[in-house]
Amino acid sequence: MGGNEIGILTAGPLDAPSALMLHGFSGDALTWQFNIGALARRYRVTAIDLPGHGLTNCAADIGYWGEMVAWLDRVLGALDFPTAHLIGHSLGARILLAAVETGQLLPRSLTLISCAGISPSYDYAFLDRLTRIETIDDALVCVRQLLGDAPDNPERLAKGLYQKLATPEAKSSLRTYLTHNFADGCLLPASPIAWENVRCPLQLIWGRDDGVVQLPPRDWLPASAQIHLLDRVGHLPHLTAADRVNALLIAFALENDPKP
Amino acid sequence: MSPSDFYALLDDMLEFDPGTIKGDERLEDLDGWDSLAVISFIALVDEKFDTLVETDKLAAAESVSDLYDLAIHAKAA
Repeated sequence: MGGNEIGILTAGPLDAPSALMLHGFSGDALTWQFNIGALARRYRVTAIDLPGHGLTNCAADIGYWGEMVAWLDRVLGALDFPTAHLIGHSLGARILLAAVETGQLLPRSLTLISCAGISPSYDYAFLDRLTRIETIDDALVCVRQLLGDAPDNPERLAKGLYQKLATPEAKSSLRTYLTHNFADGCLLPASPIAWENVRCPLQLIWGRDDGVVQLPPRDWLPASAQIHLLDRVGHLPHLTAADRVNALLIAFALENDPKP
Repeated sequence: MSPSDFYALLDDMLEFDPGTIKGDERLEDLDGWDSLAVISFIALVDEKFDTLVETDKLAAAESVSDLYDLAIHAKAA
């Protein structure tokens, strides 16, 4: 699109209802590796690499996160993307939420997993550390924080994170993002969420041990939102508690599919 | 499905020469076993066994023989 390559992963029957998945900061479409298969049994799943991530090479667009909302609009328009269930993690969740807030997307449902930018409690220092990974030990420190108390294999995830983020290009791209979105460790701008504009069914999935972004206070969220707080799970519920998350995603989507 | 038939499917999925996978390989030592291979493996089990592997157990799998056990048990589930 516009001379740039965009990484898009699709799975599932062409004639099935659509689900769109958007990954978080420093991730890519493959962050959904344990979720796509389960969803693709019932849905046409599309996972997109954000600018500066994965196979999407338009790093110039990795500026202010709000510009990614407009970028997503252009991508979905080019794909003639149908009404879908939206599922986002962290930054990807915030982008999808913004697209719904502004009326850019009118989804069947919206699932926010460990959503960035809606909580007063987040760890900027962690994001900064992600952009400075030089060794496998640096990656291991980051992975331990990502996992929280999850009983997982941090060494394997650290190896993958190191391979992905230790390149100068990756670090430059991620640092550009932080420069455009944070000042003195604070997210810019800190505008309130227009929850009243989110009229679709909404569910939030969060790890109780999330050490990167904490679940906002309950009274900051719409009363109608379904909230699932998973025990012994950190910032990556879809990876470290995939079976539980898949069950929630599928049940919520089925609940909000058009009735025959 | 026998282990050898299963290993042949993995060879094909990972674009290895036939007979490359013997069953005793550790996944962390297996070239090509990455996030995309995980998705391909889930799709392979779905196609061949018409069921889903338990993804939490797949995340914890350490060897090719673990994958075989997962696929067989997925079939039995």
